[in-house]
Amino acid sequence: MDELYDQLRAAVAQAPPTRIDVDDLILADRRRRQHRAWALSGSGVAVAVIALTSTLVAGPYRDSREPTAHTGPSLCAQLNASAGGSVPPFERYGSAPPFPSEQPAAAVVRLTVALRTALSVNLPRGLTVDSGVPGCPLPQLSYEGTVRRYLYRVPLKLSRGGDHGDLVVSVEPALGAVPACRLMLDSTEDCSTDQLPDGTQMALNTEVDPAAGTSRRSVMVGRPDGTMVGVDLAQRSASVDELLLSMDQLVAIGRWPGLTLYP
Amino acid sequence: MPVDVEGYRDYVSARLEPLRRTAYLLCGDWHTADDLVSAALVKLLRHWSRVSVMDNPDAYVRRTLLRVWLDERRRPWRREAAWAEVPDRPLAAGATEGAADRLTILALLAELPPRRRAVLVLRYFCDLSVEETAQELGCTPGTVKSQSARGIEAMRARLAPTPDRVEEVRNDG
Repeated sequence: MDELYDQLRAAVAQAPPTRIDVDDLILADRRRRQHRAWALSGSGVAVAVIALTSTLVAGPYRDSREPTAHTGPSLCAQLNASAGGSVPPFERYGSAPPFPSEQPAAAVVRLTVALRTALSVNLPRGLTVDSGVPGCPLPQLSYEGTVRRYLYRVPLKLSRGGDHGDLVVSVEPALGAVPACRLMLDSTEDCSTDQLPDGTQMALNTEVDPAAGTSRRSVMVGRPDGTMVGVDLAQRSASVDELLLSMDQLVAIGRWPGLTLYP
Repeated sequence: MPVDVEGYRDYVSARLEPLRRTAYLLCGDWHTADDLVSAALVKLLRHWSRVSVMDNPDAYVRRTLLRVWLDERRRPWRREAAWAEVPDRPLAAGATEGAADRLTILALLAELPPRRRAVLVLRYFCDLSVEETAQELGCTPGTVKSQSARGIEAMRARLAPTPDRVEEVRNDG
C-alpha cells in the first residue's frame, strides 16, 4: 500500500529537535553502574565487618580441652589492606570525569593512615582527640556510600581543658567547584573563598552565633585532583578566639597530601 | 568488561532519528516518543557489548522500543485517550493540507489496537518483511498478514470519502 507508505513518511517529515542527549544517557548509565558496584562493595564490607565483629566478640572457636590464655579482643579495626590487590570495580567512560577506582576497603585504610598523620602533625599540643568509639580512640574513616554520594567520613571528639568540640572530616569526589559564600544575612558568619596557585580551591567559613550558643569553623578544600575534603569544627558557646582549631590548622588538614581519592 | 562507548555513540547518532520517528508513529506524541527512545537507548547501552556484535542490532533496538512502548501503555497514567476528533473528510486544500493529512494519519493509527498499529508501522514505515515483522513482534507471519490487512482495511474505510462528500461533488457538477 504505497499510499500508506507515503503518508507515514509525510507524518514524520517535520520532526522537532530531539531532547535526547546521548552523553547524558551514558553518564546516567555510568552512575548506575558505579552505584551498583558501590552497593555490592558496601554489602561485602558490611558482611566482612559483621563476621569480624562476631569473631572478635564471641572469640574464635576453640576446643574446650585446649589450654588457652585469654587475651582481650580489640574492637579497633585492623588497618591492613585486603589481599589480592584492588580491582577497579568502576568503568571509565571516555571523557567523563574520573571516579575513584580504588576499592572502598583499601581506601579506608589508606585514608585513615593519612588522616592520623595529618592530625598528629597539625593539631596543637594539649588537644585530646577521641573517636567516640569506646575502646578505640584512634580516628578511623568509614565509607558511607549511598546512591547519591560516595563519601568517606569520620566524626571526632576534641577536648582541651574544659573546652569540647566536634570535628568532622570528610573526603569525597568533587562534583563541582567549592560552594560560594551565601548572601550574608547577619553578621554572625564570616565566609570567604580562595584559590591557590596550584589550583586548590577553598571555601572558608567561621560562624559564631551567641544567641544560639553555637560556633563553627569549617573549610572545604577542592583539590586539583578532583577530591573534595571537608573539615568542620563545631563547638558550643565559644567565641572566635576560643575555637579549638584555627583556620590555618583546618586548611592544613584539608590539604594534607594523603587525603586524596586519586593516589 | 568496558563498554565501547564511542561505538555506542556512533550507532545512536546514526539511528536516533529513525527511532524517534518510529516511536512517534507508535505513540503519536514527540515528547513521549523521546521518552520511549531514551528508555530503549538506556537498555541498549546496558547490553551494548552483546548487541554490538549482533548481525542486526537494529532489530534488537526496535524490539526494545516496541516493548518499552507496550509496557508504557499498560501503565494507568499512560492509558491512551482517544483523539478528540478524527476528521471525517479531508480538509480543504491549502497551506494546512499537509498538517491535516499528518494529523489524520496519526489519528487513524491511534484508533488501531496497539499491535495492529505496530504491524503497520513496522511493515510500511520500517520496511520490514512479513517474516521480520513477525519475528520482532513474537507472532506468526499469518498473524502479521491478518493484522496488516485489518489495519489497512480500517484505515481505508476511514479515509474513504463519505456519502455526504460524494453528494456535494455531484451537486457541484
